[in-house]
Amino acid sequence: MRYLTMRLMCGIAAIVANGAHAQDYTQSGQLNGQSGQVRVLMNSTAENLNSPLHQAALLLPGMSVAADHLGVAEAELRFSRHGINAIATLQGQGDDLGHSKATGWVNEFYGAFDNGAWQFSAGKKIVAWDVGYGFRPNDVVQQERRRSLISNTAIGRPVAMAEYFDADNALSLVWVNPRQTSSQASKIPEADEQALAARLYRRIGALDLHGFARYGRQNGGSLGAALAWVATDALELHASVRHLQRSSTLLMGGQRALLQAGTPWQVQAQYDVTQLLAGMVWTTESQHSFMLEAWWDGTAPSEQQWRKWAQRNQALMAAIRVSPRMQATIGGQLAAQNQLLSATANLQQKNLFARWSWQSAAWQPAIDILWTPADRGHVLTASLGWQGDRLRLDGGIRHYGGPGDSVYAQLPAASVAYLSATWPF
Amino acid sequence: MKTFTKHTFKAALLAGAVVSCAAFAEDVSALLKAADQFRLASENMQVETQITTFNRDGSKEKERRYMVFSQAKHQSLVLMQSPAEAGQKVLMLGDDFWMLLPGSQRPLRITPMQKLLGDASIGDIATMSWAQDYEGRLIAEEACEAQICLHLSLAASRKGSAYQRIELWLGKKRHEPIKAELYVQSDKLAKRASFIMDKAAVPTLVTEMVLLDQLSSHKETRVHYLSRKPRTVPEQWLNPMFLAKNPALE
Repeated sequence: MRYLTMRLMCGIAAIVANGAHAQDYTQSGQLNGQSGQVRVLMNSTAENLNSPLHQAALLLPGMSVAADHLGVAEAELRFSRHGINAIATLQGQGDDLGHSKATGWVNEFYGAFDNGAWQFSAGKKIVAWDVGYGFRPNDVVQQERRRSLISNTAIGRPVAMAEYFDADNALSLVWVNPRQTSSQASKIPEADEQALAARLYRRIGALDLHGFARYGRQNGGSLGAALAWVATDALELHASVRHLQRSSTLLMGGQRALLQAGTPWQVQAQYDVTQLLAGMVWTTESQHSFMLEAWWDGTAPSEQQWRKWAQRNQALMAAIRVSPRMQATIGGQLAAQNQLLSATANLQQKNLFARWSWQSAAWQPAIDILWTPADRGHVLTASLGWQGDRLRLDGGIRHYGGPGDSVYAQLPAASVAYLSATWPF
Repeated sequence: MKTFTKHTFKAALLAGAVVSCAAFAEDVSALLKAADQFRLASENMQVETQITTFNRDGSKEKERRYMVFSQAKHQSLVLMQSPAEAGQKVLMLGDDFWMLLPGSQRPLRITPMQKLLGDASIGDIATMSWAQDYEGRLIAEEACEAQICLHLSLAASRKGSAYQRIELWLGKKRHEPIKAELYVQSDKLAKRASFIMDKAAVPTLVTEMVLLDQLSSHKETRVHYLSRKPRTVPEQWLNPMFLAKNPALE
């Protein structure tokens, strides 16, 4: 662990030293193509003793559990010159269970060719299209994690793109995952399948209009539309809709025996699915900002699916008392229940999100809540950011709760606290 | 006959007043164009600025650097260049605004209210043309900064202007900007500005604008113009979706 930390710090120090040169400005005042940041992050998670995963861990003493405390150090380097663009990240992690690992990845690496109004690019690229904040159904090339505690640079998808721009219009045509073969198609999630995607944008004064289309080998076609409209000096409204011909979801399989080999949750297709979002941002003269969003995600598990999930949890817990010798099997089944928690971007189909933030000089406090009316579960987050001349500090706490039978009250974590320091160069 | 003469006299007076007002308005417009020349020599410009904020005790709080492409028809593109903000861009097309954060990879539609961020707002940096964005009237000749100034009162002609009202004092002889009071939409005094010229005796350029916050922080912000040159950018640079591509824009 100590050797790993030292190696990581040496690597990061080398990047910072390189970045110290990179921050020099050229005569024209432009940054000379290299930049990046170093970040140190501490996470502390309080385990939820009522979650199925905690019960599974009690029954399976050898089961791998998440650490309470996690430390992360990472360096991100950006390069852009002569049509080549790249972002790479080097990361080291250590936790209180003695686990440590060092890893690195390429977020973006693509070449771009500029031919006036037409632009062409190919490689690994981040592409984000939709207009929402809490949920973006029309990010059809890639879906990044929304409402994360710390904003992280997404990891791009392999694409070949052609784009056209004039003063008020834009057309984007994308071939996503061009190297994915048909033989793999049935085993991969939507984001990784080979697909063709298009976005048409038109600006009409205070109104941004978007139209989207996607066709994938496995999931078929989908059509979407979005708008963002600045209605007054202080109010912005946005909305988004997507209709999917087909989508993959986790459903309880045909074999419904309580104790069985393997997981009862199977990937199955659902047809004619809709996703909707409507939201607003209102900002006052004194820089208080209020955001309200409501969305429906037809790909998320239905209330009926969650009822089956809860009934199965209760039946498994009851089985412990009846069949104490089956503890290991019951523990395995309880652990498998966790699969449904990470099956889709949203846990519930109906979601309401509200956020207040205030920009006051270097400080930015914020409080937000995500509420799921179907089971009255909630995620409450309070954060505070400070931006100095260069150094940025962020800290906050997120609490998952609601009535005991709500999904958010049964997540493996009850709360997460974090603190991070970011040094750009 | 007497009635006819009376009416003719009234009409002549009215016509004279209208002509006089029109001429006066034209004069104010010419004054503003002359004042703009000290910051912008051309309609399409590339202006590099450095903004330094000082605390109340005079210590330096932060320094930021921006590249502004100020174009005709109220169009501006601001590129943030300091490490803490690198990759951020603000696009202003008339009364419409977008912000692009490097992590988001998409342009966020923002309201004019969100544009008023920070000690020196984006409007302070990007909105440089008084003649284009304001209509004014001459209030009086007044003594200011040890000289005689022309005091103008300007009202924003567009809803997206950073300040809804500006009280502006220009040098009487060369019409260079001397000082200004900047008012936000609620008619609160937001900032007091003063202008530092390259040559005190025969000024040709504003080299620095000093802003004193009057609303909350009471900090001093210095907007230093590092370089200026005429530049017309390609039309796609002013398309918000193009900016999401993170082009080099050099």
